[in-house]
Parts: sequence; structure tokens; C-alpha cells
Amino acid sequence: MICPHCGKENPDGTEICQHCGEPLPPAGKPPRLLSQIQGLIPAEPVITSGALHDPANRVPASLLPEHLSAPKREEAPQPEETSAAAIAAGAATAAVASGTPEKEQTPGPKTLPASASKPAPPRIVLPIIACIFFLLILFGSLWNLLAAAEAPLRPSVKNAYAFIEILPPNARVLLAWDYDPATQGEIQLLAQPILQHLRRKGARMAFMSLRPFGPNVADDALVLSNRLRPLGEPAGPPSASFGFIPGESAALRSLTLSPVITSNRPAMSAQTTGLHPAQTIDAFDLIIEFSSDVASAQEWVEQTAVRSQTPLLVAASGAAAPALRPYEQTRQIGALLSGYPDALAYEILLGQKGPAYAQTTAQTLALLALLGVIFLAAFRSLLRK
Amino acid sequence: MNDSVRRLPEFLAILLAFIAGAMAFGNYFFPDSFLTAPTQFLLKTVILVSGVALLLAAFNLAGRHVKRAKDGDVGSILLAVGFIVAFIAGVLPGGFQSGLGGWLYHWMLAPGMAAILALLPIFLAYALFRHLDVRDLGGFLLFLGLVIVLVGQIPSLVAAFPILAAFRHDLLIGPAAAAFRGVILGLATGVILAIFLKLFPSAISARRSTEREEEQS
Repeated sequence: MICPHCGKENPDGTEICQHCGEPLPPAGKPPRLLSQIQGLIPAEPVITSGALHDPANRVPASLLPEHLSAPKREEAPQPEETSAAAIAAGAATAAVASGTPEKEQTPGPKTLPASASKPAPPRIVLPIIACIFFLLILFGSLWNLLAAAEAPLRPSVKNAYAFIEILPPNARVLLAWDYDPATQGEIQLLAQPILQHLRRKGARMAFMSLRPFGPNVADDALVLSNRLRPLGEPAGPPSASFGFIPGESAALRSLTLSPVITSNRPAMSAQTTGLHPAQTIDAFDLIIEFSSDVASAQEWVEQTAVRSQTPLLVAASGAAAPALRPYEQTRQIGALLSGYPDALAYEILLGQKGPAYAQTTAQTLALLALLGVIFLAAFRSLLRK
Repeated sequence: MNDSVRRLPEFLAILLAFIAGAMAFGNYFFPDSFLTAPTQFLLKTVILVSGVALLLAAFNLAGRHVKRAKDGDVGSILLAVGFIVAFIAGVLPGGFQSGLGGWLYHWMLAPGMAAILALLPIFLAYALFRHLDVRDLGGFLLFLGLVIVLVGQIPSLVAAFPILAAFRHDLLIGPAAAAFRGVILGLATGVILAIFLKLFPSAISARRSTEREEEQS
């Protein structure tokens, strides 16, 4: 079976093209695109200058697929032996698209748009952008210039700080690690000051995750937190782990009823956390969710926060924050932290320099580089015809 | 075999699902009732089934790629080998937190996944450079939104001009959150409609036949 999108061969009965991922038409039926235009233009070959010369076969431009209605702007020039055919097809297509017969067009290469005859520009923009980003991040990592500037303290950061600050001695805190190693760079910036604060308060931490790699990212965060711990500061009580719990929203619903029973090893969990199987999630004084996406945090709000008296703090990626902000406004989330600016603000509140402080210049320069590219693109689009 | 006997398993499955759903639903409104224990049992079952489903999905994927690997597909060969190595590492003591699994996680998986994600802003910037068109209304709004959001999250700039953060906040809370909620609501409505169609297919077929008759007439 030939894929109508990329033209490559696939085994019979395949539903999705193994090369381009587009859905394949059911066996025995013509591809959707061809079936749409069948009857409008000759079937084989789809475009021939001879067939299109016939006014009876003229097709309105609005009915043609986009790639037939106008030649591509940045297509590479064709080799000489095929250029004549390409010119004829291009001229015929242009004639059809404009609704005028080819006789009215000037024959030959002159009928082609100027952009099609130009050689494609070398694709050096991507490497240049990559190099600029790399150099700025490297420069920012080596010379931290901007971290000294005071970051603004948003009310959410102050609230999150206050939630942890007012925890009673030996408070139980449940930390959910719902992100993958890919987003570790962003979420760990937020996790570090929170872990430092919890350690300083002597909180008893219990870890769990809805993601298979959750225990790994939790371990990584804990190792880094131990490394960043100031000399002389106590290590705090050892943390317990409920491990990876599959089942997403169902798992959270069950966790609300009994964290011990829901965990992978109930007996061990009961021993390490000091919780009884009959105790609900209200046995914890605080829940902190580290999330890289909207869905995980939403599940925590919908399955746990609404059924529990325990406050929920969410430390989410910058991409997830806008969708979660309404939950904070309606106080279903106690406080929502997001992105490296909040991590930096939390470190300032904590009075301790951490990874957010160290990365501020690199992050800021990368953002400025992105802004620069956006302005360049806008300027380029204004200059373009 | 009698038709009703043949359909018995399907009927029992639907009945079981309905009872389980009704118990969980009832437990939401009566949290401290006799429904708690059976609901907890059902939820624990869901968790176990989810774990098995994950394993089944992994084996299904591996099975498909092993077939393609036999045909010489290099990507599938690598994937099948990777699956076998990861599976062995996973079942060894320590799982992915120590030993071979830990090494794979710390030196292959984590840096690989992070590197792929780190390329995203570069490709995003390139895509913007190529396709951003401020003369088009959509392109202009995209340009404006991007600039406001990005400028509003640079700490040193926001410290100097707090209004930048306010702009960003209002943009994300207003239009962005509304659009997102709209998508969620649309999705939820679609799911409800799909359930309705599944539960009452006769109503749909009757409507379709009416529409067909109208078209014919």
C-alpha cells in the first residue's frame, strides 16, 4: 500500500504510515485526497498539461489542494532534464489555479513566479540560532551577572513560603513527583528551595509518584538537596517512599482514602511513615505536587484536594501554570509556583543561594535570545513581499 | 448457542462496571459509609489492572517491533534490544534506582530525554523565524502574546518594570485560561455525547434514517 501523503510503501493492512505517521486509507478504497478530486481532474496522471489544456477539465482554484494551487516558494531547483516538465506542469497548474487557459499565459520559463526560479537559500538559520543559544547559555553559566538583581516576590511565592513556615514540628508532608527526567531541569529548580525549607523545618517527608520515573527524579532531587545543604545544617528525618503508583486519578482517589493501603508495599509504608492503614490523606499536614503538565496537577485537585482538609501546593512548569492559575484563584490550590523566576524568588525568601540563583543569567539570556529571534522574524516578515 | 447466553459475558461486564461506578459515585457523597471499604478494594483493583496494562502495552509494542526487526528495520532492532536490556535491568534487584538500571537511567535515559527537550526552544525559535508573519492578524497576535509573556518573566526586567509582570499575568489569566477551559469543556461535552451515542445507538440510527428520508424526499 502506498501512502498518499509521503508516497512510500507500507505493508498491506497497515492503518498508519510507518514513514510519515499519517493515517492510511482502508484497503480497497482510494485515498481520501484522490477521491475528493476524482471527477474534477483526470485520474492518471493527476496533472498533465495536455489534459489541463482542455477547458472542460478546468478546476476552480478553491477546489484544488493547496500544493496544486500554487507552486511552493522555497522548493529546490529541479535538475535540467526534468525542468521542462516541471515548467509545463507549473504553468498548467498556475493556469488552472488562476482560472485562465494556458494559451493566455506566456509559455516557457517566464510563466513561473520569480521565487520558484530562485535557488533555495542555504538553511543556515537553524545552526546559527542553535549556536547563539548555546553561547549565551554558556556565557550566562560562567558569568552570573543578573542574579544579584532582586527578583519580584509574587504573592504565590510568599504564600507557599508561609504554608511551610507555619508547619508544626515533625509535620508530615507528602511530596508527589509527577514529572519526567526531560523536565527535571525546570522542576528541580523549584523543588530545591522547597526541600531545603522542609528540611530546615524538620518535616517528615513521604514521596510518591504517578509516573514510572517519579522515584528516580525524587532521588535525584534529594541527592542534590543534600549536596546543597549548608554546612552545619541538620539533615532532617529520613524520607519515606510510597513509590510509583499506577492508575492516575483512580490511584489518587484510593490514596485519599488510605495512603498506606494504596502504596506498593503497605507494611513497609506503614513502618516508614508511621501511618496506620485506616488513616486518610488528612494525616498529612501538607501536600506538595511537582508537576510538568496540567493533567497531573488537575488530578490532584479534582481527586484529592476537594476531599481533603490538607492544603495542596503545586510547583509546576511554566507551560502548565496558566491553566492551573484559576485553581489557585479559587483556593483549590493553596499556592502555585512556576518557572525559574519563582524558584529564584523562593531562594531569596529562604536567604540561600541555590541552582535558580546560579542559572538566572543563563535563563535570562536564553529568553532574551528567543525574544531577539521573534523580533527578527517580525522584522523579516514586514520586509517580505 | 442461544443469543442471550452468548451475550451474557458482555452483559455481566457492563453490569459489573455499572455497579463499580455507582459505588465509587455513592462514596463521593457518603465518604464515611459502608461504601468506603468496597470502593477502596475496587480502586486497588484498578491500580493493579493499570500496572498489568502498562506491562501489556510494553510487550505489545515490543512484539510489533520484534516482527519489524526480523525484516531488518534498524530502528526496530535498536528498540527491541533497548526493550530487552531495559526489561532485564528493571527486574534486577534495585530496579532503575541502582545497579544496571540506575546506570541506564542516569547515563542514558535522563540525559537523552533532557537533551531532546532542550532542543525544543531552538526549533521553536527557528519555526517562529520562518513562519511568523506580523502582517497577518493571527501572526501579529502571536507575536504580541509571545513578547508579553516572555518579557514578563525575566526577573531583572520585571524588577525594574513591575507592570510587565502584570501584563503577563492578565494575558495568561484572561484569554489563555479561558481558551484552555473552553477546550476542556468542549472535550467533556464531546465525551458525554460519545457515551450517549454508545448507550443509545438506536436513537442515532433512527435520526440518521429520518435525515436520509428527508434528503430523498
